[in-house]
Amino acid sequence: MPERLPRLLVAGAGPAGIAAALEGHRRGMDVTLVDEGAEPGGQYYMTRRSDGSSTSPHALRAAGAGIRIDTRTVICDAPTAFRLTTWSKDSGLRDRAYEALVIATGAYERSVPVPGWTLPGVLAAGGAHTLARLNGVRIGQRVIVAGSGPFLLAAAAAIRATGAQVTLIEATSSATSLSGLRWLLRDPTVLFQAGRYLGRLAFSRTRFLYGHAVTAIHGSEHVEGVTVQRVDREWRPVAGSERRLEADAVCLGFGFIPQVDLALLVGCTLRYRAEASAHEVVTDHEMRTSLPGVYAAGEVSGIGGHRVAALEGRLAGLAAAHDAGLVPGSEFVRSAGSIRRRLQGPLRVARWIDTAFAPRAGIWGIAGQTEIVCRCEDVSFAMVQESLEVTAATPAAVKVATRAGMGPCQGKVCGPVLREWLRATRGYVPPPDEGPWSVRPPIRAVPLAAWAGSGSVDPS
Amino acid sequence: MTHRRSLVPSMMVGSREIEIRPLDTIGSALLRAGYRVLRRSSSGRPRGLFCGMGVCHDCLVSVEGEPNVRACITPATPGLSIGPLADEDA
Repeated sequence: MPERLPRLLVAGAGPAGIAAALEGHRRGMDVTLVDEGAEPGGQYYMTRRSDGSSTSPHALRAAGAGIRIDTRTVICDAPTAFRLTTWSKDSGLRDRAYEALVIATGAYERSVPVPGWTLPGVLAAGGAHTLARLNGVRIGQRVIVAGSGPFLLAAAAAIRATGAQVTLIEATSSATSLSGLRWLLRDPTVLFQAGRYLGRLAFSRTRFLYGHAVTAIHGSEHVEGVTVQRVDREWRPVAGSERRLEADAVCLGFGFIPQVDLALLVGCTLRYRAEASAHEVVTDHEMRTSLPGVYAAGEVSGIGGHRVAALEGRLAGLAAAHDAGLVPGSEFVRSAGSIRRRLQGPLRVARWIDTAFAPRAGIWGIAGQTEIVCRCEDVSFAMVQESLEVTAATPAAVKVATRAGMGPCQGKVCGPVLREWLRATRGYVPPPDEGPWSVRPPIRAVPLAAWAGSGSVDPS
Repeated sequence: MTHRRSLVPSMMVGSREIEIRPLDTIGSALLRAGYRVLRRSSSGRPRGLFCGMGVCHDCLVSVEGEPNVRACITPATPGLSIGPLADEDA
């Protein structure tokens, strides 16, 4: 018998991380859950106190003191295998050893720039949804919700509920938006949710424009209006269809991108999946990554929503416990098989959403007309185009030539933008097995004094 | 001199007192109070809240004298002192 329990470190306390922590704990591991937020729950549960599910923050609290929960804690470095460095205001830098790590770092909003997208009053859909629903902030009187994907419905409904007038502009045609009906009909939960949002929006006389896109945002100090155009199947704007709408806030959402920075830092194999236009962590059927003792679950291994995340998290916790010798083979095969069967339906819906709502090539022509591509360093598309005269049309070469992606967000916003723009307009083909821009520790902001004293800094 | 004590929880933005509500971040309290431009970019462009979840680093403000704090993910607690913001004459 080992003297102490195997340590499971879970990075991220959203649905996947909570499920992994609960499963690991139930199977006898010594579990620590680390999250940047003030409360466990992640982006999904931040706006839903508890939905009664078995993997909510409520369930986590019910599990009692068996799971250590370190909130307001960032993971900033991975100095060697089986070790991470974390930082929090209260505890400073800490070295943490683990036998198993579950990476459940979630996703963030995909940006597709349009001229004027850096103006105050332009918000990402996820952020706008939280501001409206959690904080009751009316982000504007006349709000344009634009982009693609089902999350726009949730954002529009939340913004409408604050008393704002909302216009929803979906680039995907209504025919494509309905093409997934056969999957939805087999999935009553999602069908009910979509129906509820649509009903509420229709009732409040929210204006819908399918097959349209915002092609410019106007204003000098903040948003004053937008230009909307019809787009064709490939999302190319139709000339002559321009019209101007008054607005004082714009909410942009084009789906989500797996947040792979920790996986990249640790050294997991990533893969570029063209249908999703994003990098994902590669896992086997039981959520094991390419590294021993490291698992990935939820959005980070492919966008699937909270139900997929919770099931994958459980699977990751189960696999970690099995690999640590705590779950016998027969029991593991039975439990893992049952979770995988329950994943099939939600995964089918998720793959349809990937394909139906992923940005089409035409929209990147509009993006290329924007002034700023890298918001951190104020790098313009003009500078990028100029650099392409002397450098290769790859994201890595553009970064070196222009400093795009070298600011505090570490290229999370403009990296995918530049990659998709190069792909759509310059024939760049992302190598399937090559990761996105590399990351450098600390991968999250840590006060310089603490970091400098840690010995982790390169003296140069 | 009149000394006004606020009855609701509040924080200071430069020399102005603004209301904060439970679950507010610095960013949500600022936006509710009407602050949209939070800072200027290196080339002088106005910037405000964007991603709202700590990724983009566009909403950086100074909090209790500490610069570059992400307004969108930092809880607003009573008595905090923010800014002064980019365009404020404080």
